[in-house]
Amino acid sequence: MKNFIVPAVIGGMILGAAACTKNFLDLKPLDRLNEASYFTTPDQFKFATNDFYEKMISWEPIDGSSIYDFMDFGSDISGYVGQDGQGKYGRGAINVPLDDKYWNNPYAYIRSINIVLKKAESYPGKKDEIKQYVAAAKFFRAWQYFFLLKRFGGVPVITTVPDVGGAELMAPRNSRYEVVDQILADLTDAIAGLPTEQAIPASEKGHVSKWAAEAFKARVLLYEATWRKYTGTSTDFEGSAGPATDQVNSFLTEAVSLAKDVMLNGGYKLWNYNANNSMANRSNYYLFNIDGTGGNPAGLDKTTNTEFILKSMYDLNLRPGSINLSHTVQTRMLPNRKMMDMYLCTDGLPVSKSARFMGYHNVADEYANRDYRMLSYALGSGSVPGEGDIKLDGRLGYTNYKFSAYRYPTYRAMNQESQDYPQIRLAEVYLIYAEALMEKNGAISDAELNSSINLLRARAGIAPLTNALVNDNGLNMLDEIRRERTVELYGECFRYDDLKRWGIAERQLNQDVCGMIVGGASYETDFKVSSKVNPGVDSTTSLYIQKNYENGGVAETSVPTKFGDLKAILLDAGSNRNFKRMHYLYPIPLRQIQLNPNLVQNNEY
Amino acid sequence: MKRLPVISVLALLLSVSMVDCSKKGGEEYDELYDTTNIVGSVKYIDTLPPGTPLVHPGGLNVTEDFARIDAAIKAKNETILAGLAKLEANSHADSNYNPNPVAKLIRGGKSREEPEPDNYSRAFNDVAAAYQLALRWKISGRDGYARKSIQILNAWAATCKQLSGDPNVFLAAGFYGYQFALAGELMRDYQNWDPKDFKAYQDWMLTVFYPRNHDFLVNHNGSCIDHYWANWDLGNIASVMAIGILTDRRELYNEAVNYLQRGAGNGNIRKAIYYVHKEQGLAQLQESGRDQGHATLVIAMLATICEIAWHQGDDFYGFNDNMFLKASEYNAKYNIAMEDVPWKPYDYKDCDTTIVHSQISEAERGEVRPIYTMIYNHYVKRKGLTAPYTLIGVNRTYPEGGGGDYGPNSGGFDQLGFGTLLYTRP
Repeated sequence: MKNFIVPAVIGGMILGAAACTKNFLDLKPLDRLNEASYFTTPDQFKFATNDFYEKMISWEPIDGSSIYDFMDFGSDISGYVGQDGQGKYGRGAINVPLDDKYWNNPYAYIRSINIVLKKAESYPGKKDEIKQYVAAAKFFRAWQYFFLLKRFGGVPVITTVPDVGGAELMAPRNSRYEVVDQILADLTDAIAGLPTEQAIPASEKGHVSKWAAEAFKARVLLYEATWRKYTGTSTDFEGSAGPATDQVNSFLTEAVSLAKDVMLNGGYKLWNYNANNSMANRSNYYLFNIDGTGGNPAGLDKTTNTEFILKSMYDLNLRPGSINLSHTVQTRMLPNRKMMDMYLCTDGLPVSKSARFMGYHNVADEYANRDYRMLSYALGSGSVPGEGDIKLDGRLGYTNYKFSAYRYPTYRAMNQESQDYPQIRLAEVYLIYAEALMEKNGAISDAELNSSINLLRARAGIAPLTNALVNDNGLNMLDEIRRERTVELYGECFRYDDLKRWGIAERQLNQDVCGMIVGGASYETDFKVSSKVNPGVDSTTSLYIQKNYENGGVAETSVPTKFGDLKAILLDAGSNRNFKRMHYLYPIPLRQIQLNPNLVQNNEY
Repeated sequence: MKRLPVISVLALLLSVSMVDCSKKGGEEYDELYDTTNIVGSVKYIDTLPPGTPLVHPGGLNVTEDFARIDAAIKAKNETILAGLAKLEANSHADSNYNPNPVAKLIRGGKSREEPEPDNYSRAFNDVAAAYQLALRWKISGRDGYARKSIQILNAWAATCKQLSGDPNVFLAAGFYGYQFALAGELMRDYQNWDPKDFKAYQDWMLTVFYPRNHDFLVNHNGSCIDHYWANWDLGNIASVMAIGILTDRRELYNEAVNYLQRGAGNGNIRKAIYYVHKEQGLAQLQESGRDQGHATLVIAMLATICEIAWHQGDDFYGFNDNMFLKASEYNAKYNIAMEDVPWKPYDYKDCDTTIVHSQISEAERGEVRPIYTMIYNHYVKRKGLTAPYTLIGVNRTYPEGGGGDYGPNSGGFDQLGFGTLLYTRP
């Protein structure tokens, strides 16, 4: 121990002596890059803002983030009932945590962004040289605040670079309305300063464009307009200020015009290679795993994809996904009964109304005459299951292949999947356009539908959505637009947010979660038939081990179908699920309230 | 100045290494004292004097079990037939199975202690085959299964001379030790097992496995007592117990029984089952805060130990007011029924550092192993108690399979399985 004390004492004395040097704290470190001497050239602003791209949640875990915390596992359309992460959230089983990385991380990122913006103010060169990077910084500040808004509601808005004793650290929460104002203001600036996609040279692809900022702003506007319309102030924390004015209509109007601008001028195109026979109409599957030329049977690589407006970029060599992606989406991003029945038939009608729906007698039946997205997501490149292919021995009976590599685990092996992650894609812009129009006007014309979501339906092989279709078949236009969104954006981290902004989360999440239809004596399936010994009595076949699903003695429940009430596997009873209005927002982490007692906790936590 | 941290780190290392050198060699385990500091009295289970014969066939499955299974098959009992079909469908339970013994059984290879790679999958596959074939012989009476089973056992006894590897070798010693011993015990009344071969087999278990088991329970690989999670002890306890029965060595059996009640390590049943939440009738496991795969393995190992001891007249199922039932309910409630369970913070004292488990681990939640039928039938059918969550586990795993039915990795072989067939009682 003596060996340690001596140098420690000497060291302490030297340190003490050094501390006497005048301006000790003002010295600039000479051996590495530092804030004081950086930010003098445009490239330095570029490099600084490049760092913000990876802070959008995507495959690679950054600072402990995980995309699996956002992929809608455990939602009302999910067949995954594991009680971890989002599975717990969907059941309303969350507690106030000490820390939340999704609070700490965005604020750390916002600080870095604020540093860049502050340095831009004192940039010695022409402001125009760094305009694009300042705009990008504002885009990402908006991105991070939107992330915080969705999770926590109103949060302290920090646009400065606080010192250790900064008053910002004790700031109370801003209202969600102020946060939204901040996001929109940043995005207005971003749109003004960013180049169009067309002006971004090939070597710079991946950088955020004006169109991306417009599309994102449209996303925020629709989100907030519908939140205010349907969920209102019901989630605002105690003492929160209300909205200054009723902005719902102006938000919707702007969302429509921004979306339209991107649609008309962005130059983006849906990735549809269904005309190529080898794709077997599964463009909706292969779009999400383009990775070299081996990601699909047509050999189409990432350069063919002009649908993604903003993407997190990956590369097998430079930046592999480095998460067990294919396996995880195959086992967790699972569809449930509700989702499987949500896909339309090729005539554009739901399974409850379409004459083309073939029912559930054979496991192949429900796939007949259906939306290509159902085949793409549930089957990947595989074929429709045949008799005896599905065994219900505790498993769901459905799989998900969206985001799963084409020939996993050969092309790509575990942790090697390196497709880009779509942060914003054209399909969403169409959906924003249609939904915002419908919300604003209570109506939408066939021409407007044709210029937007009917392009998605064409790729999916289903009849267009028209006012005639709706009227003739007793459908509801808004419901059909929402259905289109649910189907198209399945697993892309939208579902919980959609349910909450539509104000229907508690109603949708607390229902029975069901799996396969097993039928019975009066509706025979692969799994249940009429007993040979006692005709008319249900008898399970060897493909179905009912016990494996029993929970408290119950394995099945009845679900309404076109063919009357049929028995389906009960994965999680609605009575176990307890999602409440309070859960629309996550709790503020405890440590933040300890550090800053001015932070008010969200309601009821 | 830059040297300061270097020097202090060096000094720290030196002081640590000095402490390490001053550690005493392994003390022999004193069976008379409870070496833990567990508060609260408990009624211990007494042991019988050395030399008292053990009950044969002992192990997990005894004559009475096979009589019950036989009757149920004749009565075309659907549950038993489903369990039997599961056994018959397992590729290990095949009279054409080819054993693959190794001279040096390695778990923890490619390490400082053992440069060669792992080969322990050969042990867990072969012993699963020997056990499953023994079951098929017991149930069908067909000689071919018995011949194949003892062929596997004899081959291992003749070939395998040592266990090797980094500390993981103690997992091999425990898990394959208890399984080989139980397979041997199941075959001991087969009339065509040459007594010389059977003796050689007993000697093999005593010389190759038991010394490792004993060493671990006494010395814990030279580590601090709480470093190794409960399962490390439990595997070795099960092995010592089963080898004691196989070789008719009461003192070994007693060693296991005593360690289970009074041992210092985490395999002490009152440490493996860390805390009883009395109000809810649930009991938290030492490994519950680690991950659910390992927590569920604790249930598997305790069930195995309890059932073996039960056939020798020792009721560890009932130990400390049925604490194991509460542990099974806890584990099934969280992992099978997917409901919340109470939590008491656990300090995992990993030698110089203490890691606080402030909440139950969500890792591997939903882990299913074929274990609940054994537990359920003891408490509900033998004892008339209730076990609602364990029952959900029974249903979820119905019909239970064994090694080979739950993936190719060791976790699927840690427990011998086939509970639906073997333990379902009317």
